[in-house]
Amino acid sequence: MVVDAAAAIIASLTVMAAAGPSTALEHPRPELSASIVQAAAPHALGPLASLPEAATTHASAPASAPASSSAGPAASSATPAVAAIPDLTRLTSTRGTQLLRGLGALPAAETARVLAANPQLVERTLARPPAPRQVDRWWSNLDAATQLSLVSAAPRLVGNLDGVPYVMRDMANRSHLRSVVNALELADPMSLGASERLQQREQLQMLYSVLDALGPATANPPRQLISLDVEGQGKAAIVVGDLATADYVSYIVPGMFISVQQSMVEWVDTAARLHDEQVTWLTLLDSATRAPAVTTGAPVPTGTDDATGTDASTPTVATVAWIGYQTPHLLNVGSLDLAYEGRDAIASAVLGLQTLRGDNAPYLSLLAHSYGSTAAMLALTETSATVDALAMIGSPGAPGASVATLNVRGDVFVGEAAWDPIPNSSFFGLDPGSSDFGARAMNVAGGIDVITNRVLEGSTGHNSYFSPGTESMRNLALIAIDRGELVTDGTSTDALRTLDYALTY
Amino acid sequence: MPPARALPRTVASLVAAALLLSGCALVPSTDVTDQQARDRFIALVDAAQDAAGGRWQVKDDPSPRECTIPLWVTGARIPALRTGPAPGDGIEEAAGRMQRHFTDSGMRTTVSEIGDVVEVRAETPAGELLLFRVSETAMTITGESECRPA
Repeated sequence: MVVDAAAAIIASLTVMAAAGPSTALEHPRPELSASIVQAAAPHALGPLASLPEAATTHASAPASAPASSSAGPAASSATPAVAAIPDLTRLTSTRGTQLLRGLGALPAAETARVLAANPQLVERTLARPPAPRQVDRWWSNLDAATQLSLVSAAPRLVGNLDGVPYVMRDMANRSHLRSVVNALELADPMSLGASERLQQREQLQMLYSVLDALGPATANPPRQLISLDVEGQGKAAIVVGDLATADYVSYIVPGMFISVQQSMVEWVDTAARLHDEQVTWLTLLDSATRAPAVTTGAPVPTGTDDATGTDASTPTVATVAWIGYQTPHLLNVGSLDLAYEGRDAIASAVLGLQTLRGDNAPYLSLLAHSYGSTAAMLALTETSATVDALAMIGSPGAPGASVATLNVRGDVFVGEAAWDPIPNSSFFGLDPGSSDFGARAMNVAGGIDVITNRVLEGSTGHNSYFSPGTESMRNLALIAIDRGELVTDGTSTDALRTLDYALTY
Repeated sequence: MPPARALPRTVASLVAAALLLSGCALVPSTDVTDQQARDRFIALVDAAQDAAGGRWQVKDDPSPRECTIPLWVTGARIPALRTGPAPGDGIEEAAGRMQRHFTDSGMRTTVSEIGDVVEVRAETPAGELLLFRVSETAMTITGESECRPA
């Protein structure tokens, strides 16, 4: 932690000493992922038509999808799956949805064999995945038995495809995680060279971090592992809550130095604290859905519901500890390359959620820190992804000129802590906290909570925005539940933000 | 300033800055078992519920949360989240009753009143934190246990 803090300071100084935004933005922009481009213009399945289509053992009416699956309007108009066992040679040369369709037509054992023999198929598909809408359409047209077979036979693929229902991705990723951990634990270290042993140990530690972050089976609310990449520095995303049903969803997007091995547990803890803070505020501000009051002034015997008891009328929350791209370190933080990777991953995650939720879309916010805020802004300017609110803290700069360039339906908030040199570096463009950018200020300096009059802790430096009990955490929670009018901005207007104001706003 | 005198000051400044940036806690854990610490914390929360009255929902997450204890040893805290009904006798009365309860239990309290929400924040010498909030429509209790070595 201290090393990270010191590194952040050094990085900050490096950033400030380096060339300005014009240099950084001269980096060539990688081509947008096909899935994100396609998402903007829904179309037919195209190449799928070239696959042979004849009845097989898998051919059946579209499955009744799992409870959390939302087929959406696209699925209802899709052609029912009628697939044959494809020619394997031909299958291995296909890609995208065509490959998915082919795999879905294979018996489970054959799917597993093909993918084991051709690992590049999964690599290729995940590197440029089909649009979530296409994935959803493909998945919804599989019968339940085939879906489960694919979870078992191709867990790495199913677990990371946006558009597949989260409950299935969780099942697939947990299965994949267990099998990789088992394989690593059982591997004979004497058969490996020194560097391989070290690499294997590092990988195992990373996977243990994911296991720790998932918490016990009794975690409340339940947690889901909705993406997992076990290679290299790894990637993972863990949901606290249920993305399939939550009324409010927030993704926490990380910046520099946040890695799966070092930070997954901390990141999920942050998501859990934000979850609790949101639940608390929804409960206090939700006047219409509360249980009857205590009937007398004196304490009465306390009744206690069980741990899973919920008030069906109270809005629900899901927070996502998302480490979905390789975050930068000191040596590559000056480049936007990883931000573009983050852009595509964020956009795919957002579009995947919106595809699955269809007409029942949640209030969606991105809470982005540091370099992650630049990646988030790229996603919201250069792709078809849209969100309801965006909060950025410790941002090193915006690729666009103003909030008007961002696909955000509601407000954009920016928080900048004292002694955090990153926001003023403007390394990747205009400081989004500047008045020219047009975002709303989000105070993180501490002070008195004007709603509860709580003495709030302030955030100082680059790495304390998510510390429990801080004004930053409270404001992030309020933004995530669409209570932006209560977010403090450090001005005298804060005095007006009382509960009365909140309930009548 | 001679370099020999400046060095300790610089080191102290760096350590202080590192502490500040890392959010490192300086409260040592108490000399009880992990289970005893957990039971003690849950008992505090349950007692607060009793003091508030009414029927509550227990939404405690059994997953521990990371914290840091001196010197940068990873620790764990147990969280609590409870939501309750509207207070039957008004916000001020509910908050006052809770403050007395916390104080009688040996906790240090801070009461804040603005608008329609009152918050009573209570901390024990061991570092356990409880936060009672009450509005016209609901009461909530959140908190975290002391930070203990994981």
